[in-house]
Amino acid sequence: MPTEVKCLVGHNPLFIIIYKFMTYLDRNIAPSFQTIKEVSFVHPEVYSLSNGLQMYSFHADSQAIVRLELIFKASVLFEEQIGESYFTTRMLTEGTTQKTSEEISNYLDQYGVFMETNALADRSIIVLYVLPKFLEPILLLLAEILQHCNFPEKELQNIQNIFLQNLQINKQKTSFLATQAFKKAIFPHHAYGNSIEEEHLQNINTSLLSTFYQKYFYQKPFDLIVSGYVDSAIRQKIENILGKMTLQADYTNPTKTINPSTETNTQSNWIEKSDSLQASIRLGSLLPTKTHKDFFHLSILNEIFGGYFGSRLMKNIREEKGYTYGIYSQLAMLQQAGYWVIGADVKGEFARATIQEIHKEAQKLRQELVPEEELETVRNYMLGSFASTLITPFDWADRFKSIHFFQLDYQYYENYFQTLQTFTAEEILQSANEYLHTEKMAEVVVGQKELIAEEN
Amino acid sequence: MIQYQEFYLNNGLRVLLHEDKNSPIAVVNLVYNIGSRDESPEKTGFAHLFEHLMFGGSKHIPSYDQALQKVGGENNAFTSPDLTNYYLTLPIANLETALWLESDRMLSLSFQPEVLEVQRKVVIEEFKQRYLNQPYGDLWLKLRPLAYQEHPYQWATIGKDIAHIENATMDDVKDFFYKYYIPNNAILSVAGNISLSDLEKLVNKWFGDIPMGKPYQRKLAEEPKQEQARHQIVQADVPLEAVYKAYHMGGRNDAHYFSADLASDVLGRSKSARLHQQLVRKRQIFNSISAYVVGSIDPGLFVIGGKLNKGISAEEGDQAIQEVLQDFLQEPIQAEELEKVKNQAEATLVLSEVELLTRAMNLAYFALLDTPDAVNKQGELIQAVTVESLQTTAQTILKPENCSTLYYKSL
Repeated sequence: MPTEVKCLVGHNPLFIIIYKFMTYLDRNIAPSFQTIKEVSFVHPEVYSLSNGLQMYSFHADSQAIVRLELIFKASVLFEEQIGESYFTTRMLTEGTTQKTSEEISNYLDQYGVFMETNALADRSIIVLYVLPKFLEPILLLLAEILQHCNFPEKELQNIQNIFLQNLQINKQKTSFLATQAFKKAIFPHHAYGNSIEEEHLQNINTSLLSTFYQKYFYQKPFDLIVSGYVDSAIRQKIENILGKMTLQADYTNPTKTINPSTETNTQSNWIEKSDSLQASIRLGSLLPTKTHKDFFHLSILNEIFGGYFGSRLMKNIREEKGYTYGIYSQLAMLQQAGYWVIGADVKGEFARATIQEIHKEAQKLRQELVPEEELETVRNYMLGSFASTLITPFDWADRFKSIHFFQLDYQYYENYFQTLQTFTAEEILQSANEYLHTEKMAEVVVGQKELIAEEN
Repeated sequence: MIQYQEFYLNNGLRVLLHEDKNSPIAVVNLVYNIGSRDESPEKTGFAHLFEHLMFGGSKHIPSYDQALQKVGGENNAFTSPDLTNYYLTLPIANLETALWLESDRMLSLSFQPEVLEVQRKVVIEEFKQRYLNQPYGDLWLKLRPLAYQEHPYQWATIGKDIAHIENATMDDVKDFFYKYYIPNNAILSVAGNISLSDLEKLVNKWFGDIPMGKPYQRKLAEEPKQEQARHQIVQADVPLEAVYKAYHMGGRNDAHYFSADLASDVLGRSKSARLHQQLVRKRQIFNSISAYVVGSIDPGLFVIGGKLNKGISAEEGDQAIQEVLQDFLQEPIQAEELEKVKNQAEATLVLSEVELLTRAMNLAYFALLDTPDAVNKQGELIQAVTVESLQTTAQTILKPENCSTLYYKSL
């Protein structure tokens, strides 16, 4: 091992001798390394504001910016019309009884604030980044938005118009079409599978959105997660403004629930998109959620299969065959269901061959134990990768969110970390036999039919 | 404020350390002073193809990725017209592995023909995925050669033609490596919980014996002053027509850079910017419109562009943009408008310093551009912009004869 060779810094009379030493450096031998033995989790400081709102705070002195996340129980799961949650969140910054859309944009920009409102599958979120010196005016605006949104007709029309045009642009992309069709195949009867199409827009109007707002945002309790620079003065400002808003009692749970037995259409679906140079492939199936006992092993299996750059799929399809710029496999974890998605944009004529290789790699994982060296690599990679998501206050807040909304606590991460350290090849084989049956998965391919349909 | 220390090796490698005692993870960022602007016009796309080859095995290490993953690390890289940047993160205890890996591929690649064959295909698929297989994806393939007639910014980093990538040979690869991938053409920046003396020992050990190369002297064709407006029309299967206007401006080190940058923000950074207010919200001509500066090291471009609402032509959109510009250039902007874009720029700067990775990356970039200390001067330069400097700079840049205009017309 060359680790004991000591080298001195340049401009030294012993340069010749040092140089000789250096020629003995054996570059074939990797330096010794350590595996991660422990990680620590930063828990939130929890405060109950005077109106009962829960504030979860993650502070670090080194930070100079504040991130506020307001998370609401409002999503596709609560919709009566497709698009309600999307357009309601989009309209939150488009007008209040005191400010026009233009005034709101000016106000936010004047203070250099980044703000986004998003309707996700399970929840809606308002997220913003603000310099501490400008926090107060921004909190006042948030309080205004949560109590006095007025949904101007003109702004909705403009937003719908832009939405429709962007949809037409997206419909020219094979990857967009594939993802849409794939979601529908996984969730044919559930709101998770919906996409907003042109025909849905006629059902969306300001009174509908206003009702949705009244039900799920107006004076409704939300989870407030504050990270970055959050000292007592910052917390006090939040208490003074958001803590003083009138809140009503909590609201009901989603009306839509999933029935896994009737879900997922596993028929393959090859969609024509003429003139496309590449074909977009999506394969997947329903899975249990992350609260299930098998989830940790499933995520390790997924990592080996297609979750990182050294995965089986990436090595085979990109690094050996050069069919694609990238292929991935992911586990999407929603509140009511999880699902597997394997995706790639490949050269059209290799679509069929790529799917065959995906089946072969899955079969190999079902039949053969993962070799020791690969096991060590993926173990250390996942440990390092996990440790690197625990560094900044934003990371801490993200880790918190992904347990909090699943009614899990930090023991979950302790267990995950422990599983990473101890999992075995047999456990991965078992997990593959339980879950990784790609030939039974939903399959979507979008591309030029004459190319993709060629038998190889 | 990003504090740092620096030293050089005898072979010319410049090393920067940003010590962060709180981080259990280290970042290693290695920037090579070679971008697509350094390519020959007959062999474009090469700097980027080469970036892919850097992961195909070095002299003593068959798989870079596998060796790094095994010690808990992750990596990636990117190529721009100006530079090629490699970066990785890993547990601080394993920092030496990162230096072993980076030094070995700086020393020599393995130059295996199979690696070239596969990565050639991968890059061609990347070319299609990013530039060809989506509407408007080829914008920069078209706009660059229109705006630049002499300077090598006239081709995109991916290359101007897939054929250049198809025809790359192993000799090209070797020439490229020995010319540019030398310690005196690179800057190594390390961030994490390590002292300067410990880092010096490790860097000397692994990089110290890599021979210095012949210094690369960059001699690029200068872009002559544009005297006449240029136009190009692209007929394409696009649902909305679009217009993009590129004006020549100074490079990243130009004294007026931030005046131009903030001028582009006033015009088109966010929803309160003039173009959005006037043309998306009030007149509803555009579906989306923005303005920005590309921020290249050599003289760059000030870009205004967007997609029109359905039924409105690129010509009408162009006309409307010019009306907004006319107003902007005639009247000095309000002090509050300047204050606004300064606040936005400040928040962006502060956000970019949250992650250790971007701190290390920015340090290396500014060392390449100017001095590492410049990373901490950006805030002052932004604050120094005045209503007058912004207006004068905008008036110099936003002239019709200094502009290349590209229309996408629906078939």
